[in-house]
Parts: sequence; C-alpha cells; structure tokens
Amino acid sequence: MPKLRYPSSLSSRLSPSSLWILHALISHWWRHPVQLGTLVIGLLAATALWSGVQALNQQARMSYDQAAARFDSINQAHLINSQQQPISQEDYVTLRRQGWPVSPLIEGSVEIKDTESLSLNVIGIEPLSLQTSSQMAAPSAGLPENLSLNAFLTPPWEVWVSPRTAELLQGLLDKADESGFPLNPLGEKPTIKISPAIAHDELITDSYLAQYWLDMDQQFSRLLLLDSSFTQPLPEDLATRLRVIIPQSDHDISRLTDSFHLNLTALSLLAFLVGLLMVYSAIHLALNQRLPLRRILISCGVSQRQLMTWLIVELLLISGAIALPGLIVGYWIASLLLPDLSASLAGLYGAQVSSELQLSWRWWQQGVLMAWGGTLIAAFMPLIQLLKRENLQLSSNSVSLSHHALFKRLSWIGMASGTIALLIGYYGESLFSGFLILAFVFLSAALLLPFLLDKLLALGQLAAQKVTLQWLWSDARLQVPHLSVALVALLLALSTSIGVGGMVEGFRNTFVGWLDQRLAAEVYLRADSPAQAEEITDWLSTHEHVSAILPSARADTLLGSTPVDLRGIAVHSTYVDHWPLLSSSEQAWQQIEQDSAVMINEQLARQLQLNLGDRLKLEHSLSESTGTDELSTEHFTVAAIYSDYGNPTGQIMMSLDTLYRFWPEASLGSFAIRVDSDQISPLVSQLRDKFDLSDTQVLDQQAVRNYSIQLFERTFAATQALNLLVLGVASIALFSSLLTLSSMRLTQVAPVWACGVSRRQLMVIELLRLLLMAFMTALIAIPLGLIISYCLVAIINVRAFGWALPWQIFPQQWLTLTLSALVSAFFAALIPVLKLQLSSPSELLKGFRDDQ
Amino acid sequence: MISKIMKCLVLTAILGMLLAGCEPNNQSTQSSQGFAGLGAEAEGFAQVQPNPVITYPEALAMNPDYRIEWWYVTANLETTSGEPLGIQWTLFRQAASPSPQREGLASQQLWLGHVGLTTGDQHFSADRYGRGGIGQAGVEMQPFSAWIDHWSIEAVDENANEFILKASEILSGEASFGYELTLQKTGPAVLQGDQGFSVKSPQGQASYYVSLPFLAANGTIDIEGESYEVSGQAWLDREWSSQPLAADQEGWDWFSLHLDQGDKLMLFRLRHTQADDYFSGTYITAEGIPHPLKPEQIQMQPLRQHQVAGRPVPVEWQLSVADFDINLRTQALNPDAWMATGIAYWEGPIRFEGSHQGWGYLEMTGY
Repeated sequence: MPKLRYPSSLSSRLSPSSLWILHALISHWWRHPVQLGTLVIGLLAATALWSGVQALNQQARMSYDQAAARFDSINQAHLINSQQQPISQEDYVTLRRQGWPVSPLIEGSVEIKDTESLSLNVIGIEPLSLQTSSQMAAPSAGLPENLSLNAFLTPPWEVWVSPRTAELLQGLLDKADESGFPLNPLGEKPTIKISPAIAHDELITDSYLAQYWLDMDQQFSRLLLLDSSFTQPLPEDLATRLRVIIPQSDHDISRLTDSFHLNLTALSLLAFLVGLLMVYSAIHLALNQRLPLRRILISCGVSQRQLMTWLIVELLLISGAIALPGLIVGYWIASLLLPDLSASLAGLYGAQVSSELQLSWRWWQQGVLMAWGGTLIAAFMPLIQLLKRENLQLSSNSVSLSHHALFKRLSWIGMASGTIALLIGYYGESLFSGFLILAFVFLSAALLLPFLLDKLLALGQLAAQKVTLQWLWSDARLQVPHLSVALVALLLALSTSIGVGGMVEGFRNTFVGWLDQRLAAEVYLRADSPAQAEEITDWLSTHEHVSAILPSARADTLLGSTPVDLRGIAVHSTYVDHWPLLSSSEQAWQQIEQDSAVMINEQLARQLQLNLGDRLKLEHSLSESTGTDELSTEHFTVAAIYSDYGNPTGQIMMSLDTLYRFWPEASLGSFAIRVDSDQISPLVSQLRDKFDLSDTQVLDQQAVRNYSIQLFERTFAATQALNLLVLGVASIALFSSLLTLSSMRLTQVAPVWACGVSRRQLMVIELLRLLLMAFMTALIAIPLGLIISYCLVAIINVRAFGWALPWQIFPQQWLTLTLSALVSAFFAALIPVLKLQLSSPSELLKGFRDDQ
Repeated sequence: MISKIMKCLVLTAILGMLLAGCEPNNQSTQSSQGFAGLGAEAEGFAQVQPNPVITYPEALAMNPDYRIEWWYVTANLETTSGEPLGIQWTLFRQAASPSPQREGLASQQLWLGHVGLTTGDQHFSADRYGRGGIGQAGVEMQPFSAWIDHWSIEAVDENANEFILKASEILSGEASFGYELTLQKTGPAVLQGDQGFSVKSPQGQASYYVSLPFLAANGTIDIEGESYEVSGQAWLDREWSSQPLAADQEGWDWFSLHLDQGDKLMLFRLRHTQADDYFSGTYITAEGIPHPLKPEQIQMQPLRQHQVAGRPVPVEWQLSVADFDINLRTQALNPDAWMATGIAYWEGPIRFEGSHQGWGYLEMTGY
C-alpha cells in the first residue's frame, strides 16, 4: 500500500493511486442507504425550493426590465398641458427650437372590433427626437436586428407588439376586409412587428400613425423630458400652458415588487435552511459512523489532510450529482407557480410578468453553486469536530455534559438575537429591517429550542413517579441533542405555517368583508365613451326595476408632485351605509357632499402621512372667470380614510359635483346600479344587447366579487405552496433523523429490556416519547408563529403593500398543525419502532457487547 | 431614461439606414454600403448628372428629390489673446424614401446635426436628430436659413452674403459649449469638380459640390460658461447626391486649407477596401478661380498615427500637389478631436508648414 505521508501538492493528494481512499469512504453510503437518502432528499429539497423561487424571481425581474423599457409616463420626467389637454405640435417644435431635450408621445387606445373586442394601448413615438447627445448609449441587445427606421417611418408604417398580441392580431389581419384592424391613412395595413420587449395589449408605432388613429392631428399627449437634469425654465409663453413633471421614484414598479420577491426569497431561504439541516444531520452521522474507518485509514498511512480532502471531494461529488435533479425539480416548481405569481403581480402592482419560463445559464450555475456551498456549510461543523476529535477520548457522560454547556451557550446567543430582533423592531423602518426581525426571531427560537425542550422535559422528569416514566423523561432529555436539528426544522416549518397561514387567513377575512361592503350595488358597468354613458343613464332612468344609478367619474391630478387618481361619486345611501372607512370625521359623507372635503385611500394616507382634517392642495384645470390660463389650486379637507386593498396607487374620492366643478374634463365612465335582486341577470343581458357591451363591461356583483377573490387567492398561492413544501421537508427531516437514531438506540434500550420491560412496552414508550417531543415543539411553535404573523401583518405588509391588516388569531389552524406535526412524528417514528419490535433478543444482547 | 427599445430603434435604424455601419467594428455594413451608408443604392431618387448649372445663392436650397445632402461649416478662429481654436457645424438631410414628398409628421425627410468645438486641449461634440415636415429641422430660402432645434445658420439677406451661425449644447454634467458667429462672404462661391460635378469614385459615383471658402468669421464662443471673443476664417461646403460613395469606400480623409496670400486648397482621399484609393481636389486662387486637380497630381501621406477612441488615426500628414508647388506637412491642433457622435469620426483644426503655412480643417472618417 502506498505511503503518502506529507504530500506537497493537491495534485499528488488526489492522484489516481489514492482513489482507493475515496472508494473506501464512499462505500459507507452503499451500506447505509437511508443515510444517503436523507442526504439526497435534504439537498434535493434545498436546491429545488431555492432554485425554484430564484427562477420565479429571475423571470419577474426580466419582465420588469422589459417593462422599464416601455414608455411608462409615470416613471419618466415629462411635460403635460396644465389643462389636461393635448400639447400642440407647435409648442413641441418651439421647445425643441429652444434646445429642450423633449420627445413627443401619443397615448390612447383603439378598440379592435371583431368576434370579441380587443382594446390596445397605442403608443406613438417620434424616434428621432428620442435621441440626444447626452443620451448616447450602445445599442441594447435583445431586439431583432431587422429593426429599421426606414420602415418604421414610411408607408405602410409599422406597429410593434408583443408575441401574444401579434397572435391575436394576425387572426384579424388574415381575414382581410371585415376585420377591425385600423388601416393607415393610405388605406393600407401597417406591417406587424414582434418584440418580446413590448407589453401585452400595447402597440408601439410612429407618432404620425398614432395621431391619425387617435384623431389627434398635430397634437401630442405629452412630451418626454429626456434629460431630467435639464433645468432651464419654460419659455414664458409656454409656462402658462405646460408643466414639467418630475416623478418620484416611489412609483417604481421594481421597488414595489421587490417586497414581494423579498418575501418569496425569505421563504425559499427558510426552505433551503430546513433542507440543509437534514444534510447536516446526515453528514454528521455518516462521519461519526466512519470513525472506525478513519482509524483504519490513518493506520494505513493516510494523512489527516488527505482524509479531509477526500471527504470534501466525496461531498462535492455527491452534492454535484444531486444538484441537477434538484434544479429540474426547481424548474418544475417554478413553472407550476408562475401563472399564479404573474397574476398576482399584475393584480397588485400592474406589473406584467411573462408566463413562460425563460432561464439563463446563470441560473443553472447559481443552483449548482448553492448546492455545493450549502453542503460545505452543512459539513463544516462535523468536519471541524472530526479534526478536533483526533486526540480526544470521549465518554458518553462527557458528551451529555458538554451538550448541557452547549445548550446554555446557544440559549444565551438565542436570547441575544431575540433582543436584537426587538431593537430592530423598535428602530427599523425599512422593509428589509422587517425581514431582519423575522430572521432574528427565527434564529433566536432555533437556538433556544434545545434549552427549552430540556427544561420542559426536566420538569416532566420531576413530576414522574414511576421508574419507567422517569426513564422515559430522562431518556427523552438524552435524545434532545440528537434530535434537536430535526426538531428545529419542525419548529421553523410549523411556526412559519402558523405565521403565514394566520396572515393569509386574516387577510382573506378582512378582504372578503371589505369586498362585501364595497360591492354594495348589484350591477357594475363601464361605458365605452361619455356619450354612451349618457345614453345608458337615460335608458336606465326609465327602467322600472332600477332604484338608483350611481355614476362615477375619474380624472388625474397631482398632489404636490405625486400623481393621484381622482374619483367622483354620487353620494348615496349605498355608499354611506356600506363604504368601508378606516377612520372618519363626524358627518364625513355630509361634508363630502356639501363642503370641499374628500376621502383618501389608506395607501395615499400612509405614503404622504396624511391624517383626518389635513388640507390637501390639488391642482385643477378650471379656468377662472378672469380669463387667465393660470393654473389654479384648491384646498380640500381629508374627511375620511378608506381601505383600498389591492390598489397600487393613491386615490382621492370626492362628490361627483365637486369633481366636475374643478375638473370639467373628468371622464364619466362607470356606474354602479341598484336593482331588485331578481332583476339582476335580465338587466345585465339587456344592457349587453342594447349597448353592445362586452362581458367585462357589465358585471353583476357576484362576478366582481368572484374575480377579486380569485385574484386574492392567486396572490397567496405561491406563498402557501412554498409554505406547505417547507412543512413537508421538515417532516422528512424528522423522519430521517429518527431513522438514523434508531440504529443507535439499541445500546440504550437493551438495558431497559434486560430489566424486564417488554419489547411491546418499549415500543409504546418510544412512540410516546417522540410524540411528546413533537407536541412540545408544536407548543413552542404556536407563540413563535403568532410573533411571525404579527411581524407580517403589522410590519412587513404595511411596508410592502401600504396597508395594514388586523392581527387575527386562528386556534383551529394551530390545532390542525399540531395534529399534523404529531401525525408526521408518528409516521416518522413508526419504522424505527417497528424495527425495535422486530429485533430479536440476540440483537438486543448485542447492544451490551457493543456498549463500551 | 430612454427606453431600451427606442435606443435600439433609433440606433439600429439610424445606423442601419441613414448612416449604416458607423460602428468602427462593423466592417460588413461598411463594405456593402460605404461609410455611413453613403454608398447605398439610390433607386427612385434623382441622380447626379454631369454638366450641371449651379448658381448662388440657389445652391444653398434643399433638394428633397436627392437622397442625401449637407450644409457644412468649419472655421479656424483665434481668441483675442491669440489662442487658436476651431468650430464645426453640419446639417445632414436624408430621405427615408423617394418622392412624392409627404407632409407634416409623415414627411420622409430626416435630419441630423453635428457640432464641434476644438481648442488645443479641449474638444466638444454633439449631435441632434430631427424629423422633417413639422419645423423642428429644415432649410428655407429667401433668405436662406438651415436649422435643427436651436442650431442654425441664417443668411442676413436674400443674396446670402452674410450669415449668422449658432449652436450650443449642454453635455452631461457641467460640460457645455456654444458659439455665435457672423460669417461675412469675402469672395465668390466656388464650384468644385467639373462645374460643381464632383466625381467620388472610378465607378462614377458623384455629387454636386459647391464651396464658400472665403468667409470672414467674427463672434463669441462659450466654453463651460466662459465667453471668448473670436475671429478668423470659415469655409462652407454644400453637397448633394443620391449615392455619393461607391459601396466599397470605407471612409475618407478630407482637407480644407487656407493658404497664405488668400489661396485655398481642398483635397480628399476616398479609401477603397477593394481597389486603390481615389484622390481629388481643387486649387482655388485668391480671386476664387478653381483649378480642379487630377488624381495623379495629388499625394497624401499619413505621417503619424495617434490613438484616439481606441483606434489609431493619422493626425499628421504630408500633402503635395504637383504643378502647383505645394508641399505641406500638417499637424492637428488637438489630436483628440474625436466626434463622439452617433456616427463617430475625427474632425478638427490643423496647422501646416512647408511650401505654405496656415490653418485648415481635417475630417477623417471610417477609422
């Protein structure tokens, strides 16, 4: 046998002649398939859940980047007409000729009538003026190279759409004349061009064609200010007509959605951690069991360094081999969750996420690196221990003693992290600090758990009278060190379930209640145009079963420099009785009807820190009778704050009269209609037929409610699915820990059996002890879960979404989870216990022989 | 923030059509369409023919039936304290499609402006793009005026004997530059080539080419907020064509020189990828009488390469013209006069010594 005592280089350490060391090490796994299984499942789960969520995040980020590439007038500095009118081509040219780096934008929508009507947002751009000296940049990749300005600007012109929209349009174009696809002024069909960078339902074309389609001859909707640092004041003659809007970065989609992804990432990290706990226990056990092998190898002349190197090589080989299937499972999980995720992001933030998973090679690379990194981290402590053990003779007594010392030390660190969590909770204000609180709460609980369990079991031991019972308690205490990793995994999974479950359930209750209040009218309708709206009003007022028509109108304005959505409603008992107000001054509704008072949504109140009674200065477009074009402002009092779940933007609600008085251009469009409940569906179908309204334009209360609830469910689908997966992984962790433990149990059980306790009794005691520990863990998980749910509801949600929720508790959930913990513990214990039951007396006797 | 799609639209489009292959590394587009697309096929556009009748000031007017044209001014100036400097002002027009001309935003006329200012140790450049048909950029006559955004050249009178030239730009950060000059015509307009028909390749590519080499310049320049009085001599070039370059011409080296005693010299070399370079030029007497030069009379020899914008560019030249006793050695005032615009090239003032001495301008493209 070669003696490689102190090899000088890695290559000689890993030379083929020393491959037999690897062979000897790896053979251990073939003899212990359960351990290998634990390692594989742990690592597989960790890699899959982590990489799955990362795939979702990556997909979403890619979509945001694409969205950022679109003309999002909210996020870009721009000029608008102060009167909410279009900007004339002449004013645009005047600005350009004074050196202003502006480029015109024409926005509007075209209805494409066919078997079902399709509404497309038309964005007209002027590509030449978009380019200025200071904006020079290298052409970005990702778009087809056949993009030609020549074709874009000349007949028949081009329209750029997303692949999905192109599919819809192609059908219409193929049908030649009867299709409703808009033609160019020469009566030709424009060329359809496809780019994945364009949002669904959006159509980008040259400003000329957009002006023609939107009937905006020589007019632009707004002018983009390409250099927001351009500080020249507006020319005097234009200053009265135009306004420069420099948006706040608060409205950035990616900032808003960051919170959502942070949420998912936090959950996936937790899953990764739980998976790693399994990996840790498998490696730890495997190293311990190979101590004799280590002695043999060292006596054969293998150095400590060689052994370490080969152990690491072995772990990297195994984890590398598991990473690939782990990534495939991760991909599969991501593809299952993506549709819900994209729906909820669209609902929450209006962010469009493509529902097709496209992953870069970096994702695969990262996944493999995570698997390796995770394995090495999990193996770090066991390997260090192995090194330390070199000259130590350990007795079982000193083990338990050292464990007590360790528990104490861990519990001190645990309490310190708990204190840190409290401090962050007190001083932190950001969303990230919210997640830090959660991290420290988890850390603290994980570190305190062994100590707490030990103390609880010690209490039980004191109370126990019978010897067997005393043995049960004290033996359970002895097992805490071996099971603590699995129990910590169980604790984390259970408390997350309680926390997240409580938050979601609480939100659902609040949301559904809110929805029921808010959807007080029976039918909701959106008209195509103000003219049609009037026509519909006339028709409805003659309808015998309609008891009230509640029109609402909307307009945009600025509060300071924050764009807000203005809603005008007809004050009616329907609203007064039902509209869900979070806080209101006395007689809020009368104030709104009579005075210059408004209601604002919770998001706006939190964003701008507004309270009841605050005065808002709003710009309005009403030209004063003095005849000047000066922009006017009006003060409004905040009379109430209402909850507005799911709305990403700030909203101000006022009476319809007030809205029209100051914003005459407000567009009337939607109605709430009160009608006898048995007349709902006849009315809906009458409206659809008579005014040619689509299914989405007229909706009964139930349909709106169902749609909203569906959106809600999808929002939390990913969260709940991940949650469930974490719980599953924790159960497997517990199971595998017990399985590996059972083989070591013989030496401890054999003396008890020798004292006359039957195998059946032993089996029952084993089961009881395990259930006891699972139960205690579940008991500790409940307050922990409540703390987590409080953090989510009162800290993270407010910072992430802009609304607070009541903190509700759901004891029934706790019961279910405790039961499920017990059931999984029961099944986890079943096989080892059956093994004990089936073990022959001779095997139990062997326990004495092995006991040193 | 400009959207990515637009960056791409604009850049690929302008690079791909108006100025194809301006990217220095984009050899394939260069070789198929010549530098900046100037060698692209010109079907449907009016074609340049020999023996034109070109008069002044009508030569300043826009010719929308031709695919491309430009109004191009350079000036060698000096501050009151004697610091030499130069400015450039160019307006390009390019038609996206042949006639008929469309009105308003539908107009196929696309405009591009370039301005530069070069001192011994500083160089500024900027470009602007514009749409025809709506007044953002264009050319009008009676009196002549040409503009894109706030950059303009305007004739003071209908005969176009005096011009006001203006440009200014705020670059990123604190950098800004600008100038406002009066250009006084002190000599006649000069027809280049054969009566204004200027051949650009052995295959017969050509353009109409008229110069105003006799312009006295006075005015002010601004550099980062500081104003300086300047004076000197300027040169205006007018050129229009539908296919001025051969497809394999990858760039040119063009000189305009103010010789002592008031004579002028224009020389250029068009570099072919697949054949010998093409030389042309005109010797103009102080009275404004042009003497077109034959290719074999001209020798242009790069002497020193200078690394600018990551590529070697010849900033020193040996120039000689047989039969006119011209033998010059030129040197750039600022070797870093790189126009970092959408289509990038080197352009800046030069001084020369030898048989004559004086100042001029050098433009080198396709490096």
